[in-house]
Amino acid sequence: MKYFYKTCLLLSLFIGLSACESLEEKPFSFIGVDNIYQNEDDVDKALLGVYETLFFPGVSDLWYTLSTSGPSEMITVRLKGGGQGQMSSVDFNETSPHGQFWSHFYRGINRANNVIKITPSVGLEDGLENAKIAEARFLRAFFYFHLARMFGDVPLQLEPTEDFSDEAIRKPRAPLTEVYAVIIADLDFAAANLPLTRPANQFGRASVAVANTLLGKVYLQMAGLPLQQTEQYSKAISTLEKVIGVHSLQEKYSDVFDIATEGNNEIIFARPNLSNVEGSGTVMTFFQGAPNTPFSFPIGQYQLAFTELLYNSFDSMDLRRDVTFLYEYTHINTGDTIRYNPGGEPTAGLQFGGPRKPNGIPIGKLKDPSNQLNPFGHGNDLIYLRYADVLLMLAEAHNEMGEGGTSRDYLNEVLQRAGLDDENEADQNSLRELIKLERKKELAGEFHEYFDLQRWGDLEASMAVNPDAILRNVAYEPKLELYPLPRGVLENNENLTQNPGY
Amino acid sequence: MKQPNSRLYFILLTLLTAGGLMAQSVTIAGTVTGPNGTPLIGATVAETGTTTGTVADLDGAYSLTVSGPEAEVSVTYTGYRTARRKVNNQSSINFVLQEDSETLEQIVVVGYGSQKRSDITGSVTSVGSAELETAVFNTVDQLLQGRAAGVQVTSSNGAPGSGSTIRIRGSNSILAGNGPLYVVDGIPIAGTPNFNPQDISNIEVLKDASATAIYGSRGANGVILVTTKRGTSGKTKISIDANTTTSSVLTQIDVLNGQQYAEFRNEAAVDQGEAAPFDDPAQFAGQGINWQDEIIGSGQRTNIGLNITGGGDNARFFVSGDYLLDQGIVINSNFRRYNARANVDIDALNDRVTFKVGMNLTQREGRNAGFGVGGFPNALGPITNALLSEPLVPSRDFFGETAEKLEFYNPYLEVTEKNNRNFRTSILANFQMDAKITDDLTFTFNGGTNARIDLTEVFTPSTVGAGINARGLATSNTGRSYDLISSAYLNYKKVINGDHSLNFTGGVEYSEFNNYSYNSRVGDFELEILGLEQPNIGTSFFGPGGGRSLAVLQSGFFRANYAYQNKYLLTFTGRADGSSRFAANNKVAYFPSAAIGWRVTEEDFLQDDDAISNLKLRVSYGATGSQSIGSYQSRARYGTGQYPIGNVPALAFIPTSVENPNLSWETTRQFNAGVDFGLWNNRLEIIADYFIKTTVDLLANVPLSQQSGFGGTIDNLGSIENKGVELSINAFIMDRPGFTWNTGLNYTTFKTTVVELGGNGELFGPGIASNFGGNAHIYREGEEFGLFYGYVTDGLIQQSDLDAATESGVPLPAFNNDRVLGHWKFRDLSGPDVVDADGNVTNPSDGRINGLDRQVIGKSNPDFLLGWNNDFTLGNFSLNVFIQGSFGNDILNAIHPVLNSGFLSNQSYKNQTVDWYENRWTPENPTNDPRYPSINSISAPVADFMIEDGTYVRLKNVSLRYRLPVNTETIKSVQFYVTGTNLITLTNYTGFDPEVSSVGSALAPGVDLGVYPRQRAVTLGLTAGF
Repeated sequence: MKYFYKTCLLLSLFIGLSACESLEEKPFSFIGVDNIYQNEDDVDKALLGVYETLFFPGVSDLWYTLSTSGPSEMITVRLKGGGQGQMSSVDFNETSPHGQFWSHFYRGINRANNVIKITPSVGLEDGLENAKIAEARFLRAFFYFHLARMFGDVPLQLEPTEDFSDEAIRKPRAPLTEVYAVIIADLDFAAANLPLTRPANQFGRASVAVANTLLGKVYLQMAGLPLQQTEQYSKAISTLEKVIGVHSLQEKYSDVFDIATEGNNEIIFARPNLSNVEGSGTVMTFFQGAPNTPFSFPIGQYQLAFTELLYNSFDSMDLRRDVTFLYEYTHINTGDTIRYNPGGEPTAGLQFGGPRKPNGIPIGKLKDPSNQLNPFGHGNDLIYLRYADVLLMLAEAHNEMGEGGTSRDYLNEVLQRAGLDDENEADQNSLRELIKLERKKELAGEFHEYFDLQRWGDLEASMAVNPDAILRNVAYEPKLELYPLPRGVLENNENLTQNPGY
Repeated sequence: MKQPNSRLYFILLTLLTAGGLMAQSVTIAGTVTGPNGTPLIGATVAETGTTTGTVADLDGAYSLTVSGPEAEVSVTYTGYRTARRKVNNQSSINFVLQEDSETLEQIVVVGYGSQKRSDITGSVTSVGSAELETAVFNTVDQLLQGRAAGVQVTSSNGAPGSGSTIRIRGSNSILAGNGPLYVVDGIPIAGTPNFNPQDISNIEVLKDASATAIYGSRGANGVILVTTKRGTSGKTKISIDANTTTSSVLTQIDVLNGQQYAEFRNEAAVDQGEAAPFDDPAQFAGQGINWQDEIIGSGQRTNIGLNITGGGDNARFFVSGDYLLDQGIVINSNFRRYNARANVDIDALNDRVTFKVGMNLTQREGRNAGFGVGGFPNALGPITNALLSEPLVPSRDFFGETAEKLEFYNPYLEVTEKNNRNFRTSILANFQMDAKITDDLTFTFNGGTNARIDLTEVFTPSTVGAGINARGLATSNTGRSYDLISSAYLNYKKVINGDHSLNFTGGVEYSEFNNYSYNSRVGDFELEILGLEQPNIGTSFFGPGGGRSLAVLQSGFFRANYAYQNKYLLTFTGRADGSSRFAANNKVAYFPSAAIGWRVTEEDFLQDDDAISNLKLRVSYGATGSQSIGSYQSRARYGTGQYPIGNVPALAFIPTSVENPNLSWETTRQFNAGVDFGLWNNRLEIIADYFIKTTVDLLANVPLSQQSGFGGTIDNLGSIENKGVELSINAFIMDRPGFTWNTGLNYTTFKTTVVELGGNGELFGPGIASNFGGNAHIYREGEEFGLFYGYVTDGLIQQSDLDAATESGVPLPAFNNDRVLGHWKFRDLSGPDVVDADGNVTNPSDGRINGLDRQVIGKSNPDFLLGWNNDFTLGNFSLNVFIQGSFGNDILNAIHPVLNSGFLSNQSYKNQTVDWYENRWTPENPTNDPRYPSINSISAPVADFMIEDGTYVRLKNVSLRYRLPVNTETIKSVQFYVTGTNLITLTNYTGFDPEVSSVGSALAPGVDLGVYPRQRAVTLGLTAGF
């Protein structure tokens, strides 16, 4: 190299014109890796890069919804033929759209690993350093918890990828218990080191309560199927109790979702979205929007909707019903009233026409009246964790431990807000069913359903009444308790095996 | 033929001469032209055996005084065969020289210099200006199709101004590009030259390592040397060429008319248990919009060019101006080019120094037929939409929602209301100085720039595609690239003791490649009529984008030729390239080559052979490289993103790649053995070459195990091999005064094999279109490059299949659980690994149809390519007939299943072909042909029934010229011509056209997505010289 450079210089003297530039590359449009982490601000930018994983590319907010809430009896889709239909009818295969989340979450895990590794070299003071690492570890746990529930045993990548050797990137699956051990360790560290609270201008970043809520959720999941570590119920309770007093229910159910009251105290962890800013908003409002409503980008795609089954499970007095469903609305152009017509002829504009029956009832939770411009730029935050979930998890854990009274107290807090009478059911099994139903109603479409069904062992029962599964003739098989690994993932790592049954 | 009076004259003359009088010499005059009437400026006209001679002037005219009527006059001109004629008693003799493209004395341009063809040891194909004149084409790459052995040209589509894919001796690379390097007047440029091809004097295609190694890390895919025309001293000569072309679409695809469409929709609805949407389909008889007719019309192309050449003792010039307007067959699609060139040569310092300046300015403007939005197939644009759009909408201006509440993509509005315009301004300029230091030693400096500014602007109104959502959308993309190239080299030529000829060239070169891009988008136009002209009416701004990159290449190169007695030829070349694109540990690459040649006809035993006029054997071996990956690929990089913490956008850092300090160039090692064979004074010439190319350290986008956090990386792995044979035969079949027939045939065959891929030895091609069934190609070690990969159908699902399944209790294996009668039945070929007790792994079928059941279903590479060129002259007429073809390749007709299955899962109902509708599976017509599934078939994955034979033979060009017998003081020549392009195509392919390559990626060849169709064209033209 040196020799070449000198020869070039010599010849250039002879020519007099050809300059001998260094062959080092000057970067212009990206940041070189050498000096990226200098101070707290740089670490924060890298942390936001980990959060940024949650902005899935393109229309993948739809696929996230259909991979979490989709495989249940509560969601139906308009297009039954392709990926949408596969998800809503629990007809998974190795190329169905859930597969992309393997890549998405591991991308986030690598980003988190990167922050965890590099932060100590910046020279922040200890508490601050640990708080940054805690934030990255919280996010890593959030991603691994998704992977564990979607795919079961998954490989553990705990170092940032710096080369592409087999040892680095083609690890085999780790047993589910090991994966959960990592998740718990990360969340313990996060809960011990994260800031207690975040100011409003930091809404969206993890705090102690966020870590505890997720940890409680992890324990609850571990207590249920498939691990059935029932000893985790008490840990779930003690962890979730720490959130009480930090967060609380909104008085009005509709305020939880209202774009004007975003960041309210019921929200524990959410992806903040901006209206009209592409890449920083969500497409979900548009995809679940009914045609010609004033609440989303016009010609809402109406790709998915709640089932009549879910609608009918609501008491007519339930204050949540008309927030959850957009049962009736005014056509933005014609002024006509569009009203869902239960059991009868499909309503014009609301039919899932042709071979795509049955019909669905439009979802009303996400409304962004300000955005008439950009289908990808709706401002509704996507809520991952909120306080009602904490209460219902506490109710579930206490009931499983035979503490019906405490369980009902938590359940009733949720019922009271819904304008319903207190529940007095004493039988543990009956109460369990009531808590499940209440979760479905309270948290419909909020990315919990498939994992709840897993934990409860209710997927088979759900499929028996899932209208899309019935339409597409999909029968329950045990394999459906987990997603298959995507074909591409298996092709690129021979050390991985497919989940049984696929 | 001697006549008595001439003999008498001769005797008389002899007597007079014997008497010592020289006054009996005679003067003859006339013209020297090529077979098509072009004056051969500078042709040497001499009396045989004497030193008396002159050169033809700008009009090809000469005047020569010879010793007497018995004298023989010979006319020589580079690139043409020497003509000899006795003077007899004529005072005027016009010579028409026949082309001799392989004449041994022809000077051939090679890298950083030129050589006599006889001295060349490598594989070099020349295409001369005569061939450039007979065809009608817009860009230089189109011209090369079928005209040079070893060169495969596939134009991507028939849109005016669209580009082509060129492969010289097959594909060498997966990622680093397979296009050749173009060198224009010594300046290597990025991309394909887009100036007026009529300015080209000749083209040399360098194919083997001996010829290309001097271009080192840019030479692996072959090099195309383009030399532009230059002036000659003499009277100023003006040449004007004007022509006009009318074109029409080659084929239409018959889709359902109004009544058929209504019947089809009714049947589809009833099949789904719904009410038929049309009460009485018969009422639509004769109705319905044929969208193809609405958007496809006849095309019109006009080209006017003028060039002026001339010069004096110390300076020569060639200047030209050219205007081209090509209006395509899709309405509103067009391409316009303005071109100006000035090539000036100046001699100075007693002719010891020559300055050569070349300046070319090209302005291109075009309007695209455009591309739609949404997923496949709508995204493919108006042509595809014209096939698919339902005929029963109220009017051709209809927009809004279909009956099923989906956006209606109106192909007519898309081409009429959408404004999709692009501009390219390019400057290609060079300054060359040749200085003779001594008689043997020359110094050359050549510096140049290739600067391009590309601008694409699109306004999509709220009636069309993406504009509907955005309420009018204006986008603007600017790309600028400035390449600076300078080289300096010495050339030393010496013949020692008459036996040893030496020719040495060596020098250095510096190149830099600057790229800038910027794009912006704005939506929500309250007033749309001003469109792109007033984008600030839009109130919604989307984030702008852009970037910048710089790459530097520094090189040293040499070539040494040695010849002993002109019999034994030796060539060594080499180049060292330092590239900024490569990783820290691999900055400099060396590319050597060596070649030997043996001119057997120079040996005593063949020197006087009557039949064999030329026999040369050539062997070469060497290495070239490819460095054309993007800049910065070896670096660990962070990109940026946004995350709205606290509902305020905030900057985020995102790691986008991992460092690879060992990333390196690709090396292509090539062996070439060739023979040049000429018979009967080269009336018949045969050039044959055999080559083996192996590319190692293949740059490839390697998909990574996704748990790494990265989707893929670029790495050097694997190897590709190309083996092939090229054959050119050129023959003067007829060479009579007044009638000549010259025919040239070239044959190319090559096979590209993937030798090694790294990883698990398997690589899939990219997805060919969004929403279309994934990838369609596979690359596997030991197998051919560019194989199609997909599912295998076993006919259609019949009642008997379902009955058998019921009986056996084993469900029929089905794709996506689709077991509907008349839908595709796929073969369950294999399943997951099953390991037996001995550890043997098998893949028995598993009762499921999934990715494991795919196999190779076709190949995209042709078995061979043929080009056949014929030139006839009869008196003042000349005729060129050019036939070209590709044999044995398959095409993935991806548009086929969309047009032939009745239903699309992710779209509304679409129009379908008549052929499918009439032959589809029904209970009454239980066909088992997978091309005719029953109604409401859901979209199929890539499968064997979409593969079609892509063989074709095309009458590419027929050009008839007539030269008016005029030669006055002012008008030197007038020619009229009629040229037909793409007149006849013989093929079994059912799509628009078998010459198709819709997907940009080199890893997805041979896919037809139904883009802009090719056209049949007839051109009328006039050329006049003054």
